[in-house]
Amino acid sequence: MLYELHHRGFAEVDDRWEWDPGLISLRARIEEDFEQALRDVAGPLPSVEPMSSEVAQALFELAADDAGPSVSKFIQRQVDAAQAREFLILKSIYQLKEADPHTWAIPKLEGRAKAAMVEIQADEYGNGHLPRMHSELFRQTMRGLGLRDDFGAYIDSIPAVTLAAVNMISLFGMHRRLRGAITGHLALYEMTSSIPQAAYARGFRRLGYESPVTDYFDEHVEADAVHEQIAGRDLDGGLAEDEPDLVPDIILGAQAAAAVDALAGAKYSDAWEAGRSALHAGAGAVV
Amino acid sequence: MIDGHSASGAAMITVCPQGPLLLRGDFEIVDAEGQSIDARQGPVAL
Repeated sequence: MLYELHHRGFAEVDDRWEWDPGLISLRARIEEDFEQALRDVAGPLPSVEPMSSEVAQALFELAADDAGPSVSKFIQRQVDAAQAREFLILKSIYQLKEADPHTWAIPKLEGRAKAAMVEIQADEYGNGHLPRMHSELFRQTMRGLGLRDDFGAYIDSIPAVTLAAVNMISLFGMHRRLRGAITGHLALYEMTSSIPQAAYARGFRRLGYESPVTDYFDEHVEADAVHEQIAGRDLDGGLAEDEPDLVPDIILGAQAAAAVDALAGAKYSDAWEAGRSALHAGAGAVV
Repeated sequence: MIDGHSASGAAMITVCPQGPLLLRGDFEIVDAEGQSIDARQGPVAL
């Protein structure tokens, strides 16, 4: 909620709370523990030479080693209609504002890394065409399954690990000292996207959905095959060459992203495999 | 050219080591019959 004051805010909350010193102080105390938890879950950081090719290779290898439970395989092969709706609800807390928390990084970067970030983010925002904006494509997918498409509509159903995954992006994106981590996070997201998105598309088609419901997934199959190259070589590689001291943070961002997503994926898979809801318990039936 | 962009807007292909070809700029992709394929906006990975 504290981060959301810096994004869309809340309908009945005065926007001036965004910069209330008391809330900023509270946020700082929470962030201290949260960042340490992310560093713990990310694990030891390997040494990587501050060269574009070396950084890109390290990130691609990390993405390839992503050993988390495969939600995408479950979606492709087994998901039923109710679980598909849950899957969209879980994703909605990020995808309905997709790209926004990463965009915080742009004014903190320079040169080659900045240009790369702008190219990726412009694509995320549909290059200025509203129907192609990724958050709009996701909104279209939610509507196709009869779900609400307003941001935060399902907030009470979102488990803590999913909220942590989104808050991590805001933490990395909003702090200049963590600009390496936000670029590493984005690279890991892009590098672990194309193949799962194709699986999601197949799963939703298996349930009988076609375009425009599947447009979101299809767009990401193509877009993220591009973005992962730009992110690895120009964004993170460029940043590493410009600011070699940031290489450990780049790796931290990528490893934290992989670790938290693995935790979230395990929660979803375990619940669905056991025939349970993956949504936050006690929120009541929403699907 | 380090960033893979053409100043003129003409098509530019970036060869990614052990990766795809990134196609940017003004281009048209056609099928075997010469019919235009509706490619996505923005750069394309081949």
